[in-house]
This record gives sequence, structure tokens and C-alpha cells, in this order.
Amino acid sequence: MKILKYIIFISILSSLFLLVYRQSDKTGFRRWWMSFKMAAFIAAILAGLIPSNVEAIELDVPNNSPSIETVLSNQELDSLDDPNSRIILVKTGDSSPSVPTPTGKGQPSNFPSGTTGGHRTPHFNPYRTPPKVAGQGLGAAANPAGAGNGGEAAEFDDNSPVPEKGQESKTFDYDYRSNYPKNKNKSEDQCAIDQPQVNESFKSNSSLKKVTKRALGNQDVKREYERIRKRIGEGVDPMNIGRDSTDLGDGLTYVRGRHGRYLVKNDDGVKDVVGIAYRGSKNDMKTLAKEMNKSYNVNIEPGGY
Amino acid sequence: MKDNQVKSFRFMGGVPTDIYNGIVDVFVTLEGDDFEYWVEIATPQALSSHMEKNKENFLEPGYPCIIVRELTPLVIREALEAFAVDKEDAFWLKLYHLTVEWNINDLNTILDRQKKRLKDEEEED
Repeated sequence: MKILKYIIFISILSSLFLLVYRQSDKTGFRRWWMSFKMAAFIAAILAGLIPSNVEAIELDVPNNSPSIETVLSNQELDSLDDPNSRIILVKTGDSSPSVPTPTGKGQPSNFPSGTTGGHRTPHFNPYRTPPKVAGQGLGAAANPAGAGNGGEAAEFDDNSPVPEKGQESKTFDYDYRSNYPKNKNKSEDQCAIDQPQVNESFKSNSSLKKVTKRALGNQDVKREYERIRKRIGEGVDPMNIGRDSTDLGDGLTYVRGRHGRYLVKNDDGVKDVVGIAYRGSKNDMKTLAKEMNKSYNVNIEPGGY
Repeated sequence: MKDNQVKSFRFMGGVPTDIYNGIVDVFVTLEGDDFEYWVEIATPQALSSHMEKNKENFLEPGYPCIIVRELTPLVIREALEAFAVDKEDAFWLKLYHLTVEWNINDLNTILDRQKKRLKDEEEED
């Protein structure tokens, strides 16, 4: 199988090399070297010898090379079938990337290009109307994706149902939950490998049994926690979840939700929710603080003033 | 009648790391009352940073928090004392503390009470 790949590679390489070499406007060794480099790179991708989810490709190609542009366009279309791949293609002779950028700021956007069933469709979120643009100087108002609501408040959206396993939005989810498309074509096992693991050791902590039971018995806390866990699973730093979360040291983050408080431990990249409590229950919060102070090198409830 | 009725307060979730840009959870105890009231205290910069970070033009709806210029014990105490004035029976502190307990039924009950009162006033006129 591997030999077959190399044969394909060689044949694509030779034909591409000739094609590019003829089109190139460079001279001498540089002409030969650039053509070979480019042909080898593209041939390797097409032959499946290197993965194609390249973040940015900027090739030094002659401006009048239509063949190269065609190859890259096909590649771009292929990549859209794989929602996990991110590609920013730079057109020859044009410095602007082929993803939307927010007007007014000129910065590259984090938003992925949308696709539905392999067809490229312009994305708009039907549930969000972009704010009226009073002037181009307002960065947030000029957000083309209508994501003025931004990134961090997903867990505060009480009306938003927690998506169950297997359920998926028919449109791309540009909003706060993730900056990247969902893994539509992957099995659950594959997704588990790609996404950071989220442990929930609070569930097995006997000292916090009552605290946890009461917290998850509150539907607001339960919904909020599901969203927070999902976001952590998507790789969002717990410090960026909730309203001004606190780094307590020892890898522990105190996440302020609207309804609950959540303690997340970062253990060499593995996130572990070590405690949760309903913020309306003073006793539970104190129990949680006591348990955390005992288990970790932190002081969640320092002395009085 | 005492003007200063904040007995003590303590932070929950650690002490503030940046006194000008942060939010803290605080338990407050009043004189002659063992109960601990829970309030959130924030600086304007923290709220502004939150909107900036999330590219929001407004703060997401949430329970109210006391806003202070800086998160020092002195300023926090000063603010808490203003919220816990004895002659008002610590009305504002209790209000901020209790909002987490309210649900929409509670609000509708109060709203119905207000509607009834307004109707009665109209009939009297």
C-alpha cells in the first residue's frame, strides 16, 4: 500500500514539476528548485503522504500560474468536507486570506468557514441579529458573523438547551461554544482523542456527596455545569469561562457561574472538575472551600476582615 | 441605633489578585446577626474587561453585584456599610443577597401585587 502511494507520489511529482517549471517566471537553479519544492509538497499531500490539515499555506509561486491555483482550490473544497481541518488559503497575487475578516479592524478572524453537506454557504446565525453599525470604528459592532455576544457567556444562557449526544445544529455553530467546527464525520472515539479529557472527580468525592447532590439537584446549576463542562471539553481555558474566574494556584481555577461555583483542576493538561456548589447555599460553599483547602495547596476562604 | 453594622466579611474563592480589575465573592456578617450574607463585588474595570473580552456591548443578564473602585478591605467595608445601613434594616444588602433565591414565580407574585395596588389606586381616584 505504501509502495503504491510512493508510485502515485512520483508520477504526480513529475507531472506537476514539468507543469510548474514551464509556467515559472524564475530562471536558473531557483526556477528548478521552486518548481520541485512546490510539486513535491502538493504531490505529497495528494498522495496522502502528509496530512492535509495545514493551517496556512503561503507558497512562493509565480503570479501567472493558473494550474497551481486550480490545485489549491480543489484542496480547499476537499478540506471543507472535513470540518476538523482548518485551512487558510492565500490566493496568488493577493494577500487577503480566503476567510472572512471583521470589517474595521483588519484582523484575521477566528471564525471558520461554514459548510453544509460539502457545499459552501455563507453563514449567518438566525438567532442573533448583528448590532447596527454606527461607525466602522466599533470593532464589536462590525462583526460579520453577528457574534457580538461573544465568547464567554454560554453558561449563562438559561434558555439555551444543553445539546444531547448525537444532536447537532444544522448550521455551523459560530457562537461562543467553539471557534472551530464540530467533528461531524468522526466517531465518538476519535473525538475523545482530539478533545481534552474532562474528568469529574467531584462525583466520586464522598466528602462532597451532599454538596454535589444539592448543586446538581438545582436545574439552573445542572444546565450551567453541562455547558461549562462542554466548553472545557472543547479546550476552553477555565479562566476564560464565567465572569472573572480566579486562579487559586496549584492548578486550581475558581469558575464563577451565574448559579454555581466550580473548581477545575488542571493536571498536566487533563482538566478535572473537582468540586461544584450552588452559590445560594452558604453551607455548601463553605463545605466545598474546606474540602478544597484540605485537598490542595490553596486557601479558598481566607481569614475575615 | 448603630450606623456601622458590618461586623466582618470574608472572601470566598480566594483574595483578589488585582484590586483594580477583579470580582470577588464575599460573605458578610452584621452586628447582632449571625447570618452570613453573600454578595459579589466587582470593579468597573473587571466588568469592562469582561465585555471587551467577549466583544459584548452590554453585560449579560446576571445577579447584581456591588461595584467598587478597588478591591481593598477598606473600600469593600465602606461599600458594605452603605449597603447595610441599619435604619433601612440592611435593605440593599439583603436585596443583593436574596436575588439568587428568586425565581420567575416570585417575581410574578410581586408583579401581581403591584398591579392590584395600582388598580386599587385607580379605582380610588
